[in-house]
Amino acid sequence: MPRASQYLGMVRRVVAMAAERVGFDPEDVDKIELAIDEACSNAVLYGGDGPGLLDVEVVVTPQRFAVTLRDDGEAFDFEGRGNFDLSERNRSVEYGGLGIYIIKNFMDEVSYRHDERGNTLRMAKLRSVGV
Amino acid sequence: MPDLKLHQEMLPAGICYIEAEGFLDAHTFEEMENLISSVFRQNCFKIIVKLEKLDYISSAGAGVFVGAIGRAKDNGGDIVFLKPSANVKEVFDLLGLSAIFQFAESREQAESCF
Repeated sequence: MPRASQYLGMVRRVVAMAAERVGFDPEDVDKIELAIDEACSNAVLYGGDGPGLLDVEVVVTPQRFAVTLRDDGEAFDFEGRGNFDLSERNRSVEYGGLGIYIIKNFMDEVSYRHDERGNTLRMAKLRSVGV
Repeated sequence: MPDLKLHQEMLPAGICYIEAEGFLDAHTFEEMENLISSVFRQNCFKIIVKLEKLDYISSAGAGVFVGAIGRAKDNGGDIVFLKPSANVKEVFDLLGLSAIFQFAESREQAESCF
């Protein structure tokens, strides 16, 4: 997708449709949709100036529903952000890091890497055996 | 249809009533942020936001309200959500935001929250 916010709705709907198609229940579909939207939003909002592309790859295996995002933006502190107790966080007007909190808590597996080509964020939801 | 449609009117007793329809995400949150800022500039801090036709909200959208509720309360007001759609209420619940906002099922009930 082009790195522009007007494409966020399209990407999250496609991912949600795929998650629904492979049998996730509605709550998990919503969690996947929100997590992918948060990841794409972070890339759009903080991934650098000017035009660019965000590569979104969905791979479904019998074990997992995996989404990989790649962009050429600057590195960010994925490990260090979004690690808080929401009940405490909500008492503060500061709200940064909630997107990363959502990604870490709504997906089952998350990994982040930055190299010379940019950022790679891999998120996966495990599928129930037999689905 | 635009991604986010906002309608605003002033109610008696100095309450601002906002209806939101569509999607409140990283693409549209600034529209809501600008509207609430303009309401604050009019010295109105009691805000009802009807979310019945809001189909989707992300952290960027929710963050607008979290960022605004402190200022509203500091000035004797509040932000009350009216009839949130099931999708939106679920996100508020998942994020633990239902504990800090008031929700109402009718306009009269919302007005009585202030």
